[in-house]
Amino acid sequence: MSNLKNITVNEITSDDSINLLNSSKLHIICSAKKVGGLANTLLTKLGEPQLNIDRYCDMVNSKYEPGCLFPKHTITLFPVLRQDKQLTMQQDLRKFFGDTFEAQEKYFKSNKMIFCFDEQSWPDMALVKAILQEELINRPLEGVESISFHPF
Amino acid sequence: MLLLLLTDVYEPITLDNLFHISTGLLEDKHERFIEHNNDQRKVWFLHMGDMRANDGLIDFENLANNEEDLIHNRLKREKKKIATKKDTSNDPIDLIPITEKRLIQPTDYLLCVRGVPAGYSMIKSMNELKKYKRFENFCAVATHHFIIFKLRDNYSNMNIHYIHLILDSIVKNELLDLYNNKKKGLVSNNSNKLATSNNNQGVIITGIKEIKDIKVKVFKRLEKQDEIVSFHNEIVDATKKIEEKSLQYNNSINLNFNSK
Repeated sequence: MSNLKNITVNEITSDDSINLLNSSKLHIICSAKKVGGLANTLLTKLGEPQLNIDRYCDMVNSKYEPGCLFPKHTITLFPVLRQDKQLTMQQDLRKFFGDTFEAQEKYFKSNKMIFCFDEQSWPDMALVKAILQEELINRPLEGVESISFHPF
Repeated sequence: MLLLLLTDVYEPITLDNLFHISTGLLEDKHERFIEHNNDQRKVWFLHMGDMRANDGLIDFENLANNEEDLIHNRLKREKKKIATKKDTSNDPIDLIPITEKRLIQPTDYLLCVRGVPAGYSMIKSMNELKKYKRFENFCAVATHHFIIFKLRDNYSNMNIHYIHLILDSIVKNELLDLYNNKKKGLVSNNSNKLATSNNNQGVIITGIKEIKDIKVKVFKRLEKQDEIVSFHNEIVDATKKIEEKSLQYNNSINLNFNSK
Protein backbone atom coordinates (compact mmCIF):
# COMPACT_ATOMS: atom_id res chain seq x y z
CA MET A 1 0.00 0.00 0.00
CA SER A 2 2.21 2.85 -1.23
CA ASN A 3 -0.22 4.68 -3.52
CA LEU A 4 -1.24 7.85 -1.77
CA LYS A 5 -4.71 9.14 -2.56
CA ASN A 6 -5.50 12.82 -2.54
CA ILE A 7 -7.93 14.18 -0.01
CA THR A 8 -9.46 17.60 0.68
CA VAL A 9 -9.83 19.41 4.00
CA ASN A 10 -13.62 19.13 3.72
CA GLU A 11 -13.38 15.35 3.41
CA ILE A 12 -10.99 15.13 6.36
CA THR A 13 -13.24 17.13 8.65
CA SER A 14 -16.54 15.68 7.36
CA ASP A 15 -19.04 13.91 9.61
CA ASP A 16 -18.12 10.67 7.88
CA SER A 17 -14.52 11.07 8.96
CA ILE A 18 -15.55 11.91 12.52
CA ASN A 19 -17.73 8.79 12.59
CA LEU A 20 -14.82 6.71 11.31
CA LEU A 21 -12.55 8.23 13.95
CA ASN A 22 -15.09 7.41 16.63
CA SER A 23 -15.17 3.80 15.51
CA SER A 24 -11.36 3.46 15.27
CA LYS A 25 -11.57 2.73 11.55
CA LEU A 26 -9.61 5.82 10.57
CA HIS A 27 -6.19 6.93 11.81
CA ILE A 28 -5.35 10.56 11.11
CA ILE A 29 -1.81 11.88 11.39
CA CYS A 30 -1.58 15.65 11.48
CA SER A 31 0.79 18.42 12.53
CA ALA A 32 0.69 19.46 16.17
CA LYS A 33 -0.39 23.01 15.44
CA LYS A 34 -2.24 24.57 18.33
CA VAL A 35 -4.12 27.17 16.33
CA GLY A 36 -5.64 26.99 12.86
CA GLY A 37 -4.52 23.47 12.07
CA LEU A 38 -6.45 20.32 11.30
CA ALA A 39 -5.44 18.82 14.64
CA ASN A 40 -7.30 21.60 16.40
CA THR A 41 -10.39 21.30 14.18
CA LEU A 42 -10.60 17.50 14.54
CA LEU A 43 -9.94 17.36 18.28
CA THR A 44 -12.47 20.14 18.92
CA LYS A 45 -15.04 18.19 16.89
CA LEU A 46 -14.22 15.13 18.98
CA GLY A 47 -15.01 17.11 22.13
CA GLU A 48 -11.51 17.89 23.41
CA PRO A 49 -11.21 21.19 25.29
CA GLN A 50 -8.71 23.73 23.95
CA LEU A 51 -6.62 23.37 27.10
CA ASN A 52 -6.02 19.68 26.37
CA ILE A 53 -5.30 20.32 22.68
CA ASP A 54 -2.68 22.90 23.65
CA ARG A 55 -1.14 20.50 26.15
CA TYR A 56 -0.89 17.66 23.61
CA CYS A 57 0.65 19.94 20.95
CA ASP A 58 3.12 21.44 23.44
CA MET A 59 4.20 17.96 24.56
CA VAL A 60 4.75 16.72 20.98
CA ASN A 61 6.64 19.84 19.90
CA SER A 62 8.77 20.19 23.02
CA LYS A 63 9.81 16.49 22.96
CA TYR A 64 10.04 16.63 19.16
CA GLU A 65 8.47 13.18 18.87
CA PRO A 66 5.12 12.12 17.39
CA GLY A 67 2.47 11.48 20.02
CA CYS A 68 -0.65 9.36 19.71
CA LEU A 69 -3.90 9.80 21.59
CA PHE A 70 -4.48 6.11 22.25
CA PRO A 71 -6.90 4.96 23.59
CA LYS A 72 -9.16 7.98 23.32
CA HIS A 73 -8.77 9.00 19.67
CA THR A 74 -7.11 7.37 16.66
CA ILE A 75 -5.08 10.50 15.99
CA THR A 76 -1.31 10.91 15.97
CA LEU A 77 0.17 14.38 16.30
CA PHE A 78 3.25 15.00 14.17
CA PRO A 79 5.83 17.49 15.50
CA VAL A 80 6.26 20.81 13.71
CA LEU A 81 9.69 21.05 12.00
CA ARG A 82 12.43 22.38 14.25
CA GLN A 83 15.54 23.79 12.64
CA ASP A 84 17.83 23.79 15.69
CA LYS A 85 18.81 20.12 15.75
CA GLN A 86 21.43 17.71 14.56
CA LEU A 87 19.44 15.47 12.23
CA THR A 88 18.47 16.53 8.73
CA MET A 89 14.86 17.06 7.73
CA GLN A 90 14.89 13.74 5.85
CA GLN A 91 16.18 11.85 8.87
CA ASP A 92 13.55 13.46 11.09
CA LEU A 93 10.79 12.58 8.68
CA ARG A 94 11.88 8.93 8.36
CA LYS A 95 12.03 8.56 12.13
CA PHE A 96 8.69 10.26 12.67
CA PHE A 97 6.94 8.22 9.99
CA GLY A 98 8.35 5.09 11.64
CA ASP A 99 6.72 6.19 14.90
CA THR A 100 3.35 6.83 13.22
CA PHE A 101 3.54 3.35 11.67
CA GLU A 102 4.20 1.97 15.15
CA ALA A 103 1.08 3.79 16.44
CA GLN A 104 -0.90 2.26 13.58
CA GLU A 105 0.40 -1.32 13.89
CA LYS A 106 0.59 -1.58 17.64
CA TYR A 107 -2.30 0.52 18.86
CA PHE A 108 -4.83 1.63 16.28
CA LYS A 109 -5.00 -1.10 13.59
CA SER A 110 -7.33 1.14 11.57
CA ASN A 111 -8.07 0.28 7.94
CA LYS A 112 -7.78 3.86 6.65
CA MET A 113 -5.03 6.39 7.24
CA ILE A 114 -4.81 10.06 6.37
CA PHE A 115 -1.57 12.03 6.58
CA CYS A 116 -2.21 15.78 6.69
CA PHE A 117 0.46 18.44 6.58
CA ASP A 118 0.67 22.18 6.03
CA GLU A 119 3.47 24.37 4.75
CA GLN A 120 3.84 26.28 8.01
CA SER A 121 4.72 23.04 9.82
CA TRP A 122 6.78 21.36 7.07
CA PRO A 123 7.71 23.81 4.28
CA ASP A 124 8.94 21.25 1.74
CA MET A 125 5.73 19.35 1.07
CA ALA A 126 7.15 17.48 -1.95
CA LEU A 127 9.93 16.08 0.24
CA VAL A 128 7.43 15.04 2.96
CA LYS A 129 5.31 13.18 0.42
CA ALA A 130 8.30 11.53 -1.29
CA ILE A 131 9.74 10.27 2.00
CA LEU A 132 6.35 8.99 3.15
CA GLN A 133 6.03 7.05 -0.10
CA GLU A 134 9.51 5.55 0.32
CA GLU A 135 8.83 4.57 3.92
CA LEU A 136 5.53 2.95 2.95
CA ILE A 137 7.33 0.83 0.37
CA ASN A 138 9.97 -0.16 2.95
CA ARG A 139 7.39 -1.02 5.57
CA PRO A 140 4.01 -2.00 4.09
CA LEU A 141 1.25 -1.62 6.65
CA GLU A 142 -0.84 -4.72 7.14
CA GLY A 143 -4.62 -4.36 7.06
CA VAL A 144 -4.58 -0.79 5.79
CA GLU A 145 -6.89 -0.48 2.79
CA SER A 146 -6.28 3.15 1.87
CA ILE A 147 -3.79 5.87 2.67
CA SER A 148 -4.49 9.49 1.77
CA PHE A 149 -2.29 12.56 1.78
CA HIS A 150 -3.14 16.21 2.18
CA PRO A 151 -2.38 18.64 0.57
CA PHE A 152 -2.11 17.42 -3.00
CA MET B 1 10.14 7.29 20.19
CA LEU B 2 6.38 7.39 19.95
CA LEU B 3 4.76 9.32 22.80
CA LEU B 4 1.55 8.07 24.35
CA LEU B 5 0.12 11.44 25.22
CA LEU B 6 -2.55 10.13 27.54
CA THR B 7 -0.46 7.58 29.42
CA ASP B 8 0.91 9.74 32.14
CA VAL B 9 -2.23 11.69 32.70
CA TYR B 10 -4.23 10.57 35.70
CA GLU B 11 -7.50 10.31 33.91
CA PRO B 12 -9.84 7.73 35.36
CA ILE B 13 -12.48 6.50 32.93
CA THR B 14 -16.08 5.86 33.93
CA LEU B 15 -17.45 2.42 33.14
CA ASP B 16 -19.97 4.14 30.90
CA ASN B 17 -17.17 5.65 28.80
CA LEU B 18 -15.33 2.38 28.55
CA PHE B 19 -18.32 0.14 27.86
CA HIS B 20 -21.71 0.18 26.30
CA ILE B 21 -23.73 -1.09 29.27
CA SER B 22 -27.14 -2.69 28.72
CA THR B 23 -29.51 -5.17 30.28
CA GLY B 24 -30.10 -8.63 28.80
CA LEU B 25 -33.18 -9.71 26.87
CA LEU B 26 -36.51 -11.00 28.10
CA GLU B 27 -36.43 -14.51 26.77
CA ASP B 28 -40.14 -15.06 26.18
CA LYS B 29 -40.44 -11.87 24.13
CA HIS B 30 -37.72 -12.77 21.61
CA GLU B 31 -37.24 -15.28 18.85
CA ARG B 32 -34.87 -18.16 19.50
CA PHE B 33 -33.01 -17.87 16.21
CA ILE B 34 -31.21 -15.29 14.10
CA GLU B 35 -31.17 -14.81 10.35
CA HIS B 36 -27.68 -15.34 8.96
CA ASN B 37 -26.88 -15.44 5.21
CA ASN B 38 -30.42 -16.56 4.31
CA ASP B 39 -30.19 -19.18 6.98
CA GLN B 40 -31.52 -19.43 10.53
CA ARG B 41 -29.17 -20.06 13.41
CA LYS B 42 -30.20 -21.15 16.85
CA VAL B 43 -29.68 -18.59 19.60
CA TRP B 44 -29.03 -19.79 23.15
CA PHE B 45 -30.33 -17.68 26.01
CA LEU B 46 -27.84 -17.51 28.87
CA HIS B 47 -29.19 -17.56 32.44
CA MET B 48 -27.42 -17.53 35.78
CA GLY B 49 -27.93 -21.29 35.96
CA ASP B 50 -25.97 -21.74 32.75
CA MET B 51 -22.79 -20.46 34.33
CA ARG B 52 -20.46 -22.77 36.24
CA ALA B 53 -20.00 -21.68 39.84
CA ASN B 54 -16.39 -22.80 40.19
CA ASP B 55 -14.76 -21.05 37.23
CA GLY B 56 -17.44 -18.72 35.83
CA LEU B 57 -17.47 -20.38 32.41
CA ILE B 58 -20.59 -21.21 30.41
CA ASP B 59 -21.70 -24.71 31.35
CA PHE B 60 -21.69 -26.10 27.80
CA GLU B 61 -22.17 -29.66 29.11
CA ASN B 62 -25.60 -28.82 30.54
CA LEU B 63 -26.70 -25.94 28.34
CA ALA B 64 -29.10 -28.02 26.23
CA ASN B 65 -30.60 -29.82 29.26
CA ASN B 66 -31.04 -26.54 31.11
CA GLU B 67 -32.90 -25.09 28.15
CA GLU B 68 -35.11 -28.15 27.80
CA ASP B 69 -36.03 -28.04 31.53
CA LEU B 70 -36.70 -24.34 31.39
CA ILE B 71 -39.01 -24.55 28.38
CA HIS B 72 -40.78 -27.56 29.87
CA ASN B 73 -41.41 -25.71 33.16
CA ARG B 74 -42.56 -22.61 31.37
CA LEU B 75 -45.08 -24.57 29.29
CA LYS B 76 -46.37 -26.20 32.46
CA ARG B 77 -46.82 -22.80 34.09
CA GLU B 78 -48.60 -21.39 31.06
CA LYS B 79 -50.99 -24.36 30.91
CA LYS B 80 -51.81 -23.81 34.58
CA LYS B 81 -52.44 -20.12 33.91
CA ILE B 82 -54.77 -20.85 31.01
CA ALA B 83 -56.67 -23.39 33.10
CA THR B 84 -57.31 -20.85 35.87
CA LYS B 85 -58.26 -17.93 33.60
CA LYS B 86 -61.48 -18.37 31.67
CA ASP B 87 -61.19 -15.41 29.32
CA THR B 88 -57.61 -15.85 28.29
CA SER B 89 -57.17 -14.85 24.70
CA ASN B 90 -55.01 -17.23 22.73
CA ASP B 91 -53.67 -14.60 20.36
CA PRO B 92 -50.10 -15.44 19.43
CA ILE B 93 -47.60 -12.83 20.61
CA ASP B 94 -45.30 -11.38 17.97
CA LEU B 95 -41.78 -12.23 19.01
CA ILE B 96 -39.05 -9.64 18.57
CA PRO B 97 -36.26 -10.70 16.17
CA ILE B 98 -32.75 -10.84 17.62
CA THR B 99 -30.21 -8.57 15.98
CA GLU B 100 -26.50 -9.39 15.58
CA LYS B 101 -25.65 -6.53 17.93
CA ARG B 102 -27.23 -8.42 20.81
CA LEU B 103 -25.19 -11.59 20.28
CA ILE B 104 -22.55 -12.29 22.89
CA GLN B 105 -19.01 -11.48 21.76
CA PRO B 106 -15.77 -12.69 23.35
CA THR B 107 -15.10 -9.11 24.43
CA ASP B 108 -18.33 -9.01 26.49
CA TYR B 109 -18.56 -9.29 30.22
CA LEU B 110 -21.75 -10.37 31.94
CA LEU B 111 -22.65 -9.17 35.38
CA CYS B 112 -25.31 -10.77 37.50
CA VAL B 113 -26.64 -8.41 40.14
CA ARG B 114 -29.28 -10.68 41.63
CA GLY B 115 -27.91 -11.65 44.98
CA VAL B 116 -24.15 -11.57 45.53
CA PRO B 117 -22.74 -9.85 42.43
CA ALA B 118 -20.94 -12.20 40.05
CA GLY B 119 -19.07 -11.39 36.85
CA TYR B 120 -18.43 -13.61 33.84
CA SER B 121 -15.75 -12.93 31.24
CA MET B 122 -16.98 -14.24 27.91
CA ILE B 123 -13.53 -14.49 26.35
CA LYS B 124 -12.72 -17.43 28.62
CA SER B 125 -15.95 -19.24 27.75
CA MET B 126 -15.52 -18.62 24.03
CA ASN B 127 -12.04 -20.17 24.23
CA GLU B 128 -13.68 -23.30 25.66
CA LEU B 129 -15.99 -23.54 22.65
CA LYS B 130 -13.34 -25.33 20.60
CA LYS B 131 -13.89 -28.39 22.77
CA TYR B 132 -17.56 -28.70 21.79
CA LYS B 133 -18.18 -29.60 18.17
CA ARG B 134 -21.96 -29.40 18.58
CA PHE B 135 -21.63 -25.72 19.44
CA GLU B 136 -20.05 -24.80 16.13
CA ASN B 137 -21.45 -21.40 15.04
CA PHE B 138 -22.48 -20.78 18.65
CA CYS B 139 -24.80 -17.79 18.99
CA ALA B 140 -25.97 -16.65 22.39
CA VAL B 141 -27.62 -13.69 24.07
CA ALA B 142 -27.74 -12.79 27.72
CA THR B 143 -31.13 -12.85 29.45
CA HIS B 144 -32.36 -10.10 31.75
CA HIS B 145 -30.55 -11.87 34.61
CA PHE B 146 -27.47 -10.03 33.43
CA ILE B 147 -26.09 -6.58 32.80
CA ILE B 148 -23.88 -6.68 29.71
CA PHE B 149 -20.64 -4.71 29.33
CA LYS B 150 -19.66 -4.33 25.68
CA LEU B 151 -16.28 -2.67 25.15
CA ARG B 152 -16.67 0.51 23.11
CA ASP B 153 -15.06 0.55 19.66
CA ASN B 154 -12.43 3.15 20.50
CA TYR B 155 -11.03 0.86 23.20
CA SER B 156 -11.20 -2.30 21.11
CA ASN B 157 -7.42 -2.72 20.85
CA MET B 158 -6.92 -3.11 24.56
CA ASN B 159 -6.02 -6.44 26.13
CA ILE B 160 -9.47 -7.94 26.79
CA HIS B 161 -8.22 -10.18 29.60
CA TYR B 162 -6.89 -7.05 31.32
CA ILE B 163 -10.16 -5.16 30.88
CA HIS B 164 -12.09 -8.13 32.28
CA LEU B 165 -9.69 -8.35 35.23
CA ILE B 166 -10.57 -4.74 36.05
CA LEU B 167 -14.26 -5.65 35.96
CA ASP B 168 -13.61 -8.71 38.15
CA SER B 169 -11.97 -6.43 40.66
CA ILE B 170 -14.92 -4.00 40.61
CA VAL B 171 -17.38 -6.87 41.09
CA LYS B 172 -15.43 -8.23 44.05
CA ASN B 173 -14.95 -4.83 45.68
CA GLU B 174 -17.23 -1.89 44.83
CA LEU B 175 -20.25 -3.99 43.84
CA LEU B 176 -19.87 -6.35 46.76
CA ASP B 177 -19.73 -3.34 49.12
CA LEU B 178 -22.83 -1.93 47.47
CA TYR B 179 -24.56 -5.28 47.86
CA ASN B 180 -23.56 -5.60 51.52
CA ASN B 181 -24.67 -2.06 52.29
CA LYS B 182 -28.01 -2.69 50.67
CA LYS B 183 -28.42 -5.95 52.47
CA LYS B 184 -27.83 -4.26 55.78
CA GLY B 185 -30.35 -1.63 54.79
CA LEU B 186 -27.74 1.11 55.13
CA VAL B 187 -28.52 2.62 51.78
CA SER B 188 -32.14 3.50 52.25
CA ASN B 189 -32.48 7.10 51.16
CA ASN B 190 -34.03 6.14 47.88
CA SER B 191 -36.52 3.35 48.22
CA ASN B 192 -36.92 2.97 44.46
CA LYS B 193 -33.37 1.87 44.14
CA LEU B 194 -33.65 -0.71 46.81
CA ALA B 195 -34.86 -4.23 46.67
CA THR B 196 -34.50 -5.40 50.23
CA SER B 197 -34.63 -8.98 51.28
CA ASN B 198 -37.86 -8.63 53.31
CA ASN B 199 -39.98 -10.76 51.02
CA ASN B 200 -37.48 -13.53 50.49
CA GLN B 201 -36.16 -11.58 47.51
CA GLY B 202 -32.45 -11.26 46.88
CA VAL B 203 -30.73 -7.91 47.07
CA ILE B 204 -30.58 -6.43 43.62
CA ILE B 205 -28.31 -3.64 42.50
CA THR B 206 -31.20 -2.51 40.41
CA GLY B 207 -29.75 -0.69 37.57
CA ILE B 208 -27.08 0.45 35.25
CA LYS B 209 -27.48 3.89 36.86
CA GLU B 210 -25.71 2.68 39.97
CA ILE B 211 -22.83 1.19 38.04
CA LYS B 212 -22.15 3.43 35.08
CA ASP B 213 -20.38 6.22 36.94
CA ILE B 214 -17.89 3.99 38.75
CA LYS B 215 -14.44 5.23 37.77
CA VAL B 216 -11.55 2.98 36.85
CA LYS B 217 -7.92 3.73 36.21
CA VAL B 218 -6.71 1.87 33.16
CA PHE B 219 -3.09 1.41 32.12
CA LYS B 220 -3.02 2.52 28.52
CA ARG B 221 0.30 0.99 27.50
CA LEU B 222 -0.42 -2.41 26.00
CA GLU B 223 2.86 -3.80 27.40
CA LYS B 224 1.70 -2.89 30.90
CA GLN B 225 -1.68 -4.50 30.32
CA ASP B 226 0.00 -7.70 29.05
CA GLU B 227 2.38 -7.67 32.01
CA ILE B 228 -0.49 -7.48 34.51
CA VAL B 229 -2.39 -10.30 32.82
CA SER B 230 0.72 -12.53 32.82
CA PHE B 231 1.38 -11.71 36.46
CA HIS B 232 -2.24 -12.51 37.35
CA ASN B 233 -2.13 -15.81 35.44
CA GLU B 234 1.13 -16.82 37.14
CA ILE B 235 -0.40 -16.19 40.59
CA VAL B 236 -3.56 -18.12 39.67
CA ASP B 237 -1.48 -21.07 38.38
CA ALA B 238 0.68 -21.04 41.49
CA THR B 239 -2.42 -20.97 43.72
CA LYS B 240 -3.93 -23.91 41.83
CA LYS B 241 -0.74 -25.93 42.30
CA ILE B 242 -0.75 -25.21 46.05
CA GLU B 243 -4.42 -26.19 46.25
CA GLU B 244 -3.75 -29.46 44.43
CA LYS B 245 -0.78 -30.20 46.69
CA SER B 246 -2.79 -29.46 49.80
CA LEU B 247 -5.66 -31.64 48.56
CA GLN B 248 -3.23 -34.50 47.88
CA TYR B 249 -1.73 -34.10 51.32
CA ASN B 250 -5.18 -34.00 52.91
CA ASN B 251 -6.23 -37.14 51.06
CA SER B 252 -3.05 -38.95 52.01
CA ILE B 253 -3.41 -38.21 55.73
CA ASN B 254 -7.06 -39.24 55.59
CA LEU B 255 -6.04 -42.51 53.95
CA ASN B 256 -3.34 -43.11 56.54
CA PHE B 257 -5.76 -42.28 59.33
CA ASN B 258 -8.48 -44.60 57.97
CA SER B 259 -6.10 -47.50 57.40
CA LYS B 260 -4.97 -47.45 61.03
